[in-house]
Amino acid sequence: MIATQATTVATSTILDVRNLHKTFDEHEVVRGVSFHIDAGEIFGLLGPNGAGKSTTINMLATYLKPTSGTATVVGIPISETERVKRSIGLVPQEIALYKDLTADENMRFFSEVYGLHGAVLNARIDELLKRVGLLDRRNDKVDAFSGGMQRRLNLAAGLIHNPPLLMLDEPTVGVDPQTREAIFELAEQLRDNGTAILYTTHYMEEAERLCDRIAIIDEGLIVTEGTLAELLATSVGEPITRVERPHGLAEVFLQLTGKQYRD
Amino acid sequence: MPTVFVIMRKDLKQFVNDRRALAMSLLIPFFLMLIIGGVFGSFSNTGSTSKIDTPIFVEDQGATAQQLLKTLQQVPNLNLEMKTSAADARKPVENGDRSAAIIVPAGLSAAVEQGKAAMVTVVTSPSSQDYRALVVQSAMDNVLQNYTAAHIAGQVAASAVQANGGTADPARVASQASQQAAEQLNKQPLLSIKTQKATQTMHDSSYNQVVPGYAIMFALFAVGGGIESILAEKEAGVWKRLLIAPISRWALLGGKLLAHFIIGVVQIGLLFIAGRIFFGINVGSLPGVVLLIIVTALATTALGMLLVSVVKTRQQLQPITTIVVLAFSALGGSWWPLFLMPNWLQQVAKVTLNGWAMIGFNNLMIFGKGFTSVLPSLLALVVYSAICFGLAIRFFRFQEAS
Repeated sequence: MIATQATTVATSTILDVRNLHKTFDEHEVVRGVSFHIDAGEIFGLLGPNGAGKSTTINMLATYLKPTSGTATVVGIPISETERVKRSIGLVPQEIALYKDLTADENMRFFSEVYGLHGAVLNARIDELLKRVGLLDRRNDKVDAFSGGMQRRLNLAAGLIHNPPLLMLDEPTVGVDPQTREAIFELAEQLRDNGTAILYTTHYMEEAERLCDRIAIIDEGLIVTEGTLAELLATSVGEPITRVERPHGLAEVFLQLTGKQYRD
Repeated sequence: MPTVFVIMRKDLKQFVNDRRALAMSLLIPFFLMLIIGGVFGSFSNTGSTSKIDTPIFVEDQGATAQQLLKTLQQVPNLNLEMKTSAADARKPVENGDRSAAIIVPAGLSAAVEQGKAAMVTVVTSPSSQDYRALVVQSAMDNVLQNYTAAHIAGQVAASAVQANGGTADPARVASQASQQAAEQLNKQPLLSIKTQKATQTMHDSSYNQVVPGYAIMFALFAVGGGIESILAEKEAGVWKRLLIAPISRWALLGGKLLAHFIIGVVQIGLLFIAGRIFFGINVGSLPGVVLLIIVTALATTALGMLLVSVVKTRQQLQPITTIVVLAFSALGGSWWPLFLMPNWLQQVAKVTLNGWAMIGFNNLMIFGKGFTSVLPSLLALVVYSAICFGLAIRFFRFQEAS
């Protein structure tokens, strides 16, 4: 492992994951994952299909119960699900919205689910819709939106309660360069405002561009972790012959995880 | 291979691989054939399942009455239920449990022996739709006609023998007998049927059956489609988003069920209002109908929830919903009155929520009974809902293990 794993958690640590395991029917999908994310940091979790990324995220989001190990979000153990949920925002891979409702109705519904109401709710919806460029389309049904607009609204819905930890699970799948850029800018703004972001993607150039630190997970284990520079500077086995960007991280990734299919 | 066959082969392969298409094209029609065949097959003139339960009271102990009873017992369509009084025989018909009853009055045998006309009473359901009452009437009529013919033949033969002594010419006697028999048959019949409609109040407009029947069937379809949204949300990821939100799982599920329950109540209620305005249906006891609508909507919601709990995908749910709704509607009296179905099928109908609901609605809307007549249905539907909800909670998966 390249970077020294945090054994002592800094006061600014938002997410602290220690030795997380998950077993399904005697098949251990996550085999002792540990990492941490500080406030104002974008942490990239990369890995091939079936490596354990989604299972890890699902455990951190309280959707799945870990077989063993611990994790805390702003100091609250994830086992205390009802308390910790308000500190977590998840933007899933899927467009997790009601497509037969308008953008405004979706935002209002998810706001109320998180206990927002009144003027605070209205202000928050206005702010988020403006940030994702959908304020003037707020009364249109999601069905009528393009893929990129749906992705942006999906992101806004995950931010409705202003969580200190935001998990973005492949947020740029199938979007055009403009929307991708908008998502990047929004992630960077959130980071600058102190949000800790766990970011998964299969696009290496995204991780290179956005992530302050990157972990590569394979077969349920984190095989390397560090800043982009640290990952590129170190080889595993044979030296990495990096020629030019943006292929650098992709080379590291393939060298560490191999070229065989994983799904 | 020509392209047309390549495409045909691919489409056939897709069809065979599509379990939903197979279910819709084969399983559903098969189940409907089975059920509808079961219902109508039972009304045919043959087979043990075609017997019509018929209460009978034979007050007269004379030879003619006993002979009529013996003959009736041999009629293949009838299953006679011996009663100890005329009132006992009438009661099941008045309650709508039986289509017709037979009462053989005292003095019938004596009247026949004296050559006087006598009558057998057949009490029938007031429903003009109940053809089983006609079957009983027809069977009784046949028995009486056969008995009358035999009786006349016997009398004619006896008088011929008496007139001609032992030297009678058979051809001449036969000719005389035929002439006398014809004259007798043209007179007032010796034995005939007196038909009485049961005294119950009967509202036999078909809308009193069709409106509740179809309202329940389409409430089932609606709840099937509505509850399907849970699976749609699971597939779209919305369900996960809600599960990680700070709300209780039971609030999430309860909110959805409450919505579909309200939709069910409003849907059935509006159809009843439309039925009242446009078709003039008889509502009978308003509190009874309202409570029945509420518990029926509760039961449809519970059943929908149970279906959602035992399947994983919408693709699995749709054919299952179609089969359940059509089977329940056919068996449970949504398509035709339960009281027209054979008794064994009326018992099978109680497996379905439609059956219990329709017993209640028929009592109120067709038989004009009071509020207390729907209490068994109300109780049964509440129990039905509790069982379905209990099983649904047992099997429901908030999240898939993945």
